[in-house]
Amino acid sequence: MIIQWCIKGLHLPDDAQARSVIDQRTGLLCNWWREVGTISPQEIRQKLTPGNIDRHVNHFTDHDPATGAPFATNSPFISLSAGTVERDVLAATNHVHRARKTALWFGTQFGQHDVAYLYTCWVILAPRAAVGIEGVAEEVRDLNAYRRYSAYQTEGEVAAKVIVPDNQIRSCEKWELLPSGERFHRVWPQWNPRFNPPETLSNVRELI
Amino acid sequence: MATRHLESLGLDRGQVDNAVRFHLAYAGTALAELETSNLPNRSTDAESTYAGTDPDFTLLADAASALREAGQWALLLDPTQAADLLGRSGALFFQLGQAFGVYLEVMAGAPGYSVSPVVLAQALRQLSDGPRDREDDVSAMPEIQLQHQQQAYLVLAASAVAARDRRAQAFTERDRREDAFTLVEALRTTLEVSAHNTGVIPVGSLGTPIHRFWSVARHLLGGNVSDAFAIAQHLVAMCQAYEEAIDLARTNTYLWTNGAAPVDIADLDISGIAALTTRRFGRGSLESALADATSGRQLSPIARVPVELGISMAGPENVERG
Repeated sequence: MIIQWCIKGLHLPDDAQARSVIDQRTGLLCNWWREVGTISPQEIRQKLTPGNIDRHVNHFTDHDPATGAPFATNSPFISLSAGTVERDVLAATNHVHRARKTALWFGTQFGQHDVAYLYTCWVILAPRAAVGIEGVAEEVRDLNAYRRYSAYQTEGEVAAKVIVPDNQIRSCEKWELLPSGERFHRVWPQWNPRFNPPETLSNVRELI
Repeated sequence: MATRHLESLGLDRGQVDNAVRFHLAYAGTALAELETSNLPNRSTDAESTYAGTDPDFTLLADAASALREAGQWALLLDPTQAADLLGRSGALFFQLGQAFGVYLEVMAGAPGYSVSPVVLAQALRQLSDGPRDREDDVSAMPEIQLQHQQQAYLVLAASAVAARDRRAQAFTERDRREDAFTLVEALRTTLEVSAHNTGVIPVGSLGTPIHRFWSVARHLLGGNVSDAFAIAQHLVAMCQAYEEAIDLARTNTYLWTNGAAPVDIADLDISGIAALTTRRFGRGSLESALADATSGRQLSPIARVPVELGISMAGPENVERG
């Protein structure tokens, strides 16, 4: 297993709602859970399928044959960004994808808003596709046939399942575009006092 | 023309504006961080989860990538702004030792390139294990021998620079000491001896086989109608790959309409080659060669988008004739 730091970018109505993810210990919930309010283990099993992750990545707003509603409304997956910034990747692609940029892009709803909230968290990543395993996130690789530079890299997309628990969220940051449009700046960070660092899972044993 | 392109692609002008604004602001964010990165009080808490031991590289690459992204979006609306952004991006990529930066500057028609013909010639000789001018020369592109994709952009840029320089047209003994001849000589050697002549390594967002870049570079150096036709044949093949990538990307309407699909809308390989070819042979020659290369059948409106964007960036006043 791999422990992967990720960022989730969200556009939310106000600071109070942004802070409540940590303050109220809700964590980051998938759209499906937020939509229906209550979910069950049986339903989770039915939702975590290869077909649904394909819909999440490639047909996000298409109608879900199971519900008739847009798939996005009832997706059990949570898109996170991990980014890629290695020198050899840059040389091959002429493009780095930094997690923070992707999160700001989605968090500002593709540049439509000037404010975004970025949540830095960690997830356990499966080294290969394991869509039915709820406890591990998927590295979304080669699911997009048209993805630029797929021959060389992923773009750092990670799909978590159902929830990112609040104790895996290190912080929330509010970012805002300066009125001049010149650059973004961090307005405030909110640190999670109940955060459990991923080093907790380290398999390095100390000498006795 | 911009409206027609946006209609063909099913994109909203407001969203394209938003994309340019966002990526430009993001580049400003990274550059502002770079300026303060050496301050003793630099806060590291927010960055502690980022990979790599060279934050300056990350920030510079981040800014270069964002300006590149802003430039390719701007190309759909305003070729002059696009050229400015791509030129600035190119200068940053070149600082990172990437030949792609020189390509961007040359395709954008930047008035003063970051790199001289002598430096280009040195990188080309390095590529083909040629001798250095001096043993203590410091290469501007130190890893170019290992970076096949960067080699493709190096030969394209070098060919365009060499062809642009009219001094390259006549080689006298006196000229042999001049920069232009040095560059042409190094370029011809590289183009002839390299295995990339028939190479299949994928380059760029469309995964174009590297032999196409090699061939385009060779024909940019030539000056005949047949050279324009040969380049047009490559452009047609690349445009068809572009059209397929765009068609597939449009399947995801959420990402597509929000300008977030992982494709390059204004493909910089096609638009760059179209810009360089227009400057070299003229717009009429390129259009005519494209018609011949498609046997009279027009490329579809979508397939034509990046070519037309490249032509618009070249500008009619910049046409050079061999």
